[in-house]
Amino acid sequence: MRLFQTSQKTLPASIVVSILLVMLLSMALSCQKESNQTTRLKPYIIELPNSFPRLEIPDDNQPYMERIALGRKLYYDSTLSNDGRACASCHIQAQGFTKSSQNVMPVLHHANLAWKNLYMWDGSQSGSLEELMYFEVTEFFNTNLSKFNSHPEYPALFKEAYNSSTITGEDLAKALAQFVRTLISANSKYDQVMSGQATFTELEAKGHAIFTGERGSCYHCHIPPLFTDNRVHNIGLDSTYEIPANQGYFHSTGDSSHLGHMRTANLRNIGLRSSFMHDGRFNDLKQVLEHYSNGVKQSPSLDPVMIKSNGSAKLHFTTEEIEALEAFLKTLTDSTFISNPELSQA
Amino acid sequence: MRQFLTFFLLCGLVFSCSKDETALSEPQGRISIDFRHFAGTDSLLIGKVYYPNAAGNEYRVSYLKYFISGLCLYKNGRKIWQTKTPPISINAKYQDCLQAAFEQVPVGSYDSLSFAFGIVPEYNYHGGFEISNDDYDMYWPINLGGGYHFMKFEGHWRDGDEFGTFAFHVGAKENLIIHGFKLPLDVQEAQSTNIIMTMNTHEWFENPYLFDLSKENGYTMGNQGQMNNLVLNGQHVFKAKLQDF
Ligand code: HEC
Ligand code: HEC
Repeated sequence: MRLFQTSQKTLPASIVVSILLVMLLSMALSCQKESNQTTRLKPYIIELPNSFPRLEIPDDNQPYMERIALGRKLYYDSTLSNDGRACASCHIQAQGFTKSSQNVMPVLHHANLAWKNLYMWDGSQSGSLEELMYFEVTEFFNTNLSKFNSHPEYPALFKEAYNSSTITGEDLAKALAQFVRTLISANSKYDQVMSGQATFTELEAKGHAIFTGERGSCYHCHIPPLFTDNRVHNIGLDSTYEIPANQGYFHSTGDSSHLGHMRTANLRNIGLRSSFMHDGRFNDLKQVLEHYSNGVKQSPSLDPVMIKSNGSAKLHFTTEEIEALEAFLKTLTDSTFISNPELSQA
Repeated sequence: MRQFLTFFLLCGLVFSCSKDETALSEPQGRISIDFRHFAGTDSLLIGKVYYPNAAGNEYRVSYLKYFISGLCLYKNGRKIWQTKTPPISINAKYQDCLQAAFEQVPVGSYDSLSFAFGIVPEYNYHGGFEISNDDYDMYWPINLGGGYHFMKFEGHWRDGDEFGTFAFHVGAKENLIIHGFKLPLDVQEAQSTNIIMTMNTHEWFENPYLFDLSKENGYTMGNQGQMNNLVLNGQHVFKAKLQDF
């Protein structure tokens, strides 16, 4: 240390400057995770909402404004598909990025996907958002890449955002993941109450207490503030599992103890939805709550958490308790999220 | 001189990018604990095999995750060192990579160690440490005191024609279990001292409290009496030894 200090005093300014330059250069080389090309991009900081877990973003796809804008353009663009559909044809912002339906598998809504590591109703996809988007593009949409490479705008946009000369499936996936990661819903009445900016009505407060206490023990799986636990569970919708669509996570593991296991639904914006569960079997929230109250069916793969300390899986809610839970669930509607112009078609 | 200085600066930079930035004032080593899980003498297989417990039920484990925290080292009955590493979660599903590593352990010899099964109070509140997506499911509700579950041990049981489930959940500061082991530990500079910690899941069902899943419900959430029984049984679940090469 002493050597450094005494020597520095005697060094001419030009040498000090060149040393500093080398320093800066080597810093850029050794610490930067992506190529120099990103230095031209505008960084974007994703703010972590209160009490959310750590946000994990791959080193090679750090957020920048240009990339998010590109992902947003793709999300609303039917060029991705071969039949005129865009992601937004089914994932509609005003409905909480889902689309109302009845008695079929509901379109999974998009909110806070950045904090998931298990995807689809049956948990059949896992990994990063980038990996999931790669699946969406290559398998679900079977995107024709030549349409992108000969497109009047995309080649320049991808060159700018990712320095890619040829647009690949990975590039599309990375850009889509950038946009989807910004679909953050954390400004519902529930969030405002938690941060002291609003208060629950008496009924909502009662529902909140049931939800987060042992009376309902909903929190065990729908853990606030994400309202999911990123795990799969069998909540006793059926007692036998011959129908493949009801087998759930069993498809991924072949393990009979996973029969009927579905990923814990994220209840954000649940009040906007019109059909519920992996097959859309319920058409209003009261029916869902009736299920937890009296409808849970026993089977060898029923989730351990469904049998409460009195030995029963039935919670026997009163009419008032059901109303309270419903009122509470509706406080998860985030009206700024579904109308935020930054998330709509540019 | 100039070249030397540049080299010197570059070295400094390389180090400044790495994670351990504390100045190494005293020589330090590392302790790593490998967690292994057995049901009796069999390696625990999650979701597959039914194992007999002391009450004569058979149980199959679908989930086993817990936190450990607050590792301390002792010599002659005196606490010499306590880790600053935040709680570490152990999920028995990941059989082969269940290692808890503790860095910056002062070099020296110690004769015993202890750790908390669960989360020591200084970390046990929401936001008390950075929780990963994977461990998000360990949340413990605010109205039960906040913080995180110390353990989720879940599964199914059968006994003759009867079958059912158990969900042994434990949390809250009164249920923290401190495990202590006499082990001669010789921590050397820049070396890792490896310990193998084996959990026998049978122990959760016996000694002193015989858990008969066919007679009583194994859902412990909100039931301090049952959690206390688990805390008693939990005193004996681990065995520790040094890894020999
Ligand atoms: C035809 C309607 C439709 C279109 C178009 C569509 N999706 Fe979906 N999406 C669905 C349905 C239905 C599911 C649920 C599928 C399942 O669980 O098996 C889903 C699930 C998802 C999920 C999983 C969400 C979660 O919580 O696990 C993501 C992410 C997703 N879609 C993104 C996209 C993207 C990106 C596009 C455009 C490339 C797209 N979707 C286009 C209907 C659609
Ligand atoms: C053992 C875990 C678990 C518990 C406890 C639990 N849920 Fe669920 N919940 C799930 C899973 C898994 C699904 C998705 C099931 C499916 O897709 O078929 C779900 C679905 C739902 C849905 C429908 C979501 C949608 O988008 O269709 C609602 C509403 C709901 N739960 C509310 C509750 C309430 C209220 C409670 C407490 C009374 C509760 N849950 C307790 C795991 C749980």
